[in-house]
Amino acid sequence: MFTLSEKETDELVADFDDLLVYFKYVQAIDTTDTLPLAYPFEAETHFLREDVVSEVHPVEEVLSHSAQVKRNMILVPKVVK
Amino acid sequence: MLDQLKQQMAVIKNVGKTLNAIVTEADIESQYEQQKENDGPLHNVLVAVKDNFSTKGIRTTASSKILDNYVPFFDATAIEKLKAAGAIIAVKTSMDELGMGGTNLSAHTGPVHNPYDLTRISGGSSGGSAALVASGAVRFALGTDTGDSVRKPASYCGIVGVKPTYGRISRFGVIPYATSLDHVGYFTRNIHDAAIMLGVLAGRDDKDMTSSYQPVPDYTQFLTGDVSGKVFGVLENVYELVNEASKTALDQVLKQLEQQGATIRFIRLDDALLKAFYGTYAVLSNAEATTNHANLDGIRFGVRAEGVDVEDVMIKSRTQGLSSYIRKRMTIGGYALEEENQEELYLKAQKVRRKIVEAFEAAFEDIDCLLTIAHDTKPQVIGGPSPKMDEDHYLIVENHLVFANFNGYPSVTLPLTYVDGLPVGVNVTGKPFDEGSLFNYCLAIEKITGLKDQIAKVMD
Repeated sequence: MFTLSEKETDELVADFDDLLVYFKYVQAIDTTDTLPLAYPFEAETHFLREDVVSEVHPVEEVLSHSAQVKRNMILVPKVVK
Repeated sequence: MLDQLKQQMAVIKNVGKTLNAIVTEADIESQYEQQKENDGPLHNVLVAVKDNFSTKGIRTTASSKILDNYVPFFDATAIEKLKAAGAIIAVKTSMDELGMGGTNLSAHTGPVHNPYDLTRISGGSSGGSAALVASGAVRFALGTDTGDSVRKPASYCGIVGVKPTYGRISRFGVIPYATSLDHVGYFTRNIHDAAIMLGVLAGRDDKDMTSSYQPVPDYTQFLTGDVSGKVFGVLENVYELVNEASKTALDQVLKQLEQQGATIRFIRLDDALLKAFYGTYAVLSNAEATTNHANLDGIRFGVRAEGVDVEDVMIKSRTQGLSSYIRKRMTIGGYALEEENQEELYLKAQKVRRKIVEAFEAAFEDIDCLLTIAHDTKPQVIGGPSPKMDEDHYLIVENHLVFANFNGYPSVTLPLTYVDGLPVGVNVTGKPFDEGSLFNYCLAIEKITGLKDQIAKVMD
């Protein structure tokens, strides 16, 4: 979600062309019967934590990052008009 | 003691200004008071921190305009660990915007200067941290490494840059770039400090789902300098392409390692595979970055632009807050993730990643560590054109360090020599979760080169 100017779009086309040049080397690798690899190691590091409160942050602290806040809620332009 | 720290802080600020390495200065007095009773290994040590680590009460921008006003209410786990060891956060350092670059030219606050030649770049994306350690302003600095963002600037700046095993240091609280490739790393000026620092930072963290359960040893106990019987691999594909001065320096190191009882074995991988590193990285990293940075919309945090509705706010906040360079890269990442392109681009890159990982896994069956030259082409002149080089040089020599992000192996760059007055590093990669042995191999090299505690004189 953002926009690109006409100049940026032209530059992007050139960037894409560069990438495709380099990607031809990726396409040249035979990956028949090769599975995708998402993470370096397959060691199990996930776990189900106990359903207990471990950390509490005051609402005011969490909301302090937002540009506009009203009644403990983040304020955005009206959705329903 | 506080007076000494204030004096050091003044030096950090001055040097930082010359190098344009600092984004935000921290209040060291309040931290000093809090740390008074702490007798940890980093007691009263001023540390510089890359600006993508969340630091409680200290602005954290990731060198991006969209986070210019972001002050976290929590510390990243790495910061908690630094503080627990007695360290004091001195400054947040400049980086390529959101970590997406290798030059530090895209930082919202402008480029960082190389301490050895102020007209040249420091390298990136952890450029501010590298430059401050190299200048002697701080002893330790945190960085992150997704493609080579600690190990390449370490080479440019003549210091030690450590990227440990994937999962060794928690990434909780670090503003991500590409989750499957991101590592927390750091800079020091000698290997002994590198071993101390990993002991401070490493360990399981339930808040990072990729954090490892492997126990954390005392890494300094491995530092014997004895390498007899060990096999040092050398990546021939890179070795044969680098300049003669760097090659000669590496040859001298190899000769002395042999004299100390080590075996040198040249490793040749398929050139075609090495040439595929960059394309694989570009697709995977941009795609992951696009997903990770979808939350930078100005609504819950960050700089918000005015808009007529929520979507308009998000579009304008992102368009104004993210640089042109980042928006273009995210467009490429989004394209690779489109359903109709996934098989051809994203999944293809993931499959090639497996081939790369398997090739190095096989190579490491016969060696204890792998040596390469960390960079060959001089750091770019700020404001000048990108250095000209042929495709082999660009793809094989200047972009090969990313293999240790693909496979997660621990990898360290340390000073090797100087070419035309500029540092060049040797990169050493070890076996997963065996950073202790890796530091020992690096110590042996550090003793041979004698390039320990190198400082670039930035100011009189």
